[in-house]
Amino acid sequence: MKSIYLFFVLLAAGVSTVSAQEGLAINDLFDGRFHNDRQASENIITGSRSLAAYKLSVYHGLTLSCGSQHMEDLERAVMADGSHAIRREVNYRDGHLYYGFYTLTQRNRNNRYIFYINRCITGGDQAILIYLEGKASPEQVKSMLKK
Amino acid sequence: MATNRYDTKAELSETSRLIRAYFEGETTVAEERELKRRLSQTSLSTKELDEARAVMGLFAASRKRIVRRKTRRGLTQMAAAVATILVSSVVTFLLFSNRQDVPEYLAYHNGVEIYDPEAVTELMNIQLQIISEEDDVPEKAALEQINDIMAEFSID
Repeated sequence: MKSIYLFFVLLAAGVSTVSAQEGLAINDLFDGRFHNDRQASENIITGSRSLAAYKLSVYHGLTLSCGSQHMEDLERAVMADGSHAIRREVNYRDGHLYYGFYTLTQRNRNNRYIFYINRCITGGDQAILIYLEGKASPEQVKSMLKK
Repeated sequence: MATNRYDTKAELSETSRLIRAYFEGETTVAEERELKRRLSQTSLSTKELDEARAVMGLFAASRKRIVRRKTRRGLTQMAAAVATILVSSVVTFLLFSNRQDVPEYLAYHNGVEIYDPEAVTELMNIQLQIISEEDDVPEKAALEQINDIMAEFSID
């Protein structure tokens, strides 16, 4: 009887982690607020052939122009999730996060990454956030990002 | 000093065993009869024997209570198992059904919802291209580049 209880508890726990972005601060940014925002562009690709070549199953990107009122939210969310990363490469400029590449804890045996760059700090015109999930290693992901 | 056959150490040991089995509800009818006989014929008085004698006098009512308790315990366990299964099933259904609603390719640009795989993939490529650029200011703003691409796909 106890083994039956344990099985169903584990089942519930397992399915509760299906949506791997949940539990991350950046997930709040993907709540639909940018769907009608002309200063933003958001794209999601899941489990498709486009990503298979990169050994990824989820690509979720967000581009904000420098005039967006959500720039601070973006930086705050990235840093919050980055604080729990198991590996991070960061670069700060003028007291703000300029570049961040974070390797997060695995979920359902998938690697998870956050990539962030804020070109507004260096005279550019956009900040980009990308959430990635899949079997790719950090080196493979960085190779994809730098192509 | 033993006064009858049930007062020997070996017989007392057997009587104790029967008493324990009786209180755990595991005696057969024949064993209960045997236990009654032993308790009535032995002249010894110990706490264990006296308790058993007192209970045996209320045998019918006690046994019913024990059986009812066991049945209630079994029903409680079954109800808990059914509840666990139901809750897990509902949670599984809700989470999987939501997940299936997310399309494979989806983008939002200038308030427009985009499902075209090529267009959404191109958005991704633009983002990757911008990331890989040198730190100089690009000739065109990122969203302007995206606008150009969307125009190619005839998306306003």
